[in-house]
Amino acid sequence: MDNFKLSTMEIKTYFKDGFAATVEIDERNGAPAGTLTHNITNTNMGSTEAVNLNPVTNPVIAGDNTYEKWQKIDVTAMGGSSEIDNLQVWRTGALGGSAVHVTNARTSSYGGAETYATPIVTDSTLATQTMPSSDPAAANLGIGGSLTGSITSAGSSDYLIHQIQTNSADVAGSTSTMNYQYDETA
Amino acid sequence: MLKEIHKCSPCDGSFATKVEYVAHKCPVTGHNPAEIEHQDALTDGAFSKTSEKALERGALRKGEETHPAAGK
Repeated sequence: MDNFKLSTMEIKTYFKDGFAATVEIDERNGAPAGTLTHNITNTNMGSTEAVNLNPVTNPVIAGDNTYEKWQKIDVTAMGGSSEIDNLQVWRTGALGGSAVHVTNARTSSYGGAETYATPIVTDSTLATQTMPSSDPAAANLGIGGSLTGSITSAGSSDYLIHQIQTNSADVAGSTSTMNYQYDETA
Repeated sequence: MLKEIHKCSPCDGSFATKVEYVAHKCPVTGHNPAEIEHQDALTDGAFSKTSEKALERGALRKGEETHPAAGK
């Protein structure tokens, strides 16, 4: 009869895909409930209320605003991860002239989750703070209305609302980059 | 209740619910939106690198939050 003895053994596993969460940026447009476009291609801002717009064919007259953008970070699958949190958004690159980029994102006095409303071209009443031009180093977009909220199953962030407000002296558009960042816990 | 529409930006497909959107096989990528391959196909593999960075930040932050030396 063979003798069996207990021993330790190394178990190796590796994860092929499915390990990390799958995350996309979505944008809602139109009158409520509106159309939610998943996985947007860009966040171009312009004089029309549309997703993935062409800024050349929809330019903003100097002194006017762009339409608000209502976007969110959407987790379509958690993969093997347990939590997504610490959402941070900011823009890098200069705007043309003295235009300002405003948002509801902020690291303090956060206003909570906003209910979707048709994006407006007049001064936003919700996007009232300047968009950070560098990593804010702390959450500035909430989940479930709170900056300390987290996503633990497929779901999405609060709405990120932002708008560019130009000055009548502005003479040219600009190209800059929106950054959307999250932390993920395996 | 107001009815919303879900659209897939890459293929322009239209869906009545998010569940239907997530379940569809996007003809542009050959994968459904819940698959990493879908995002990687749309970003030339940049999404996987973004995920790695997100996991690194998460591990670092959670480690700091739970490490006894952090006093939290």
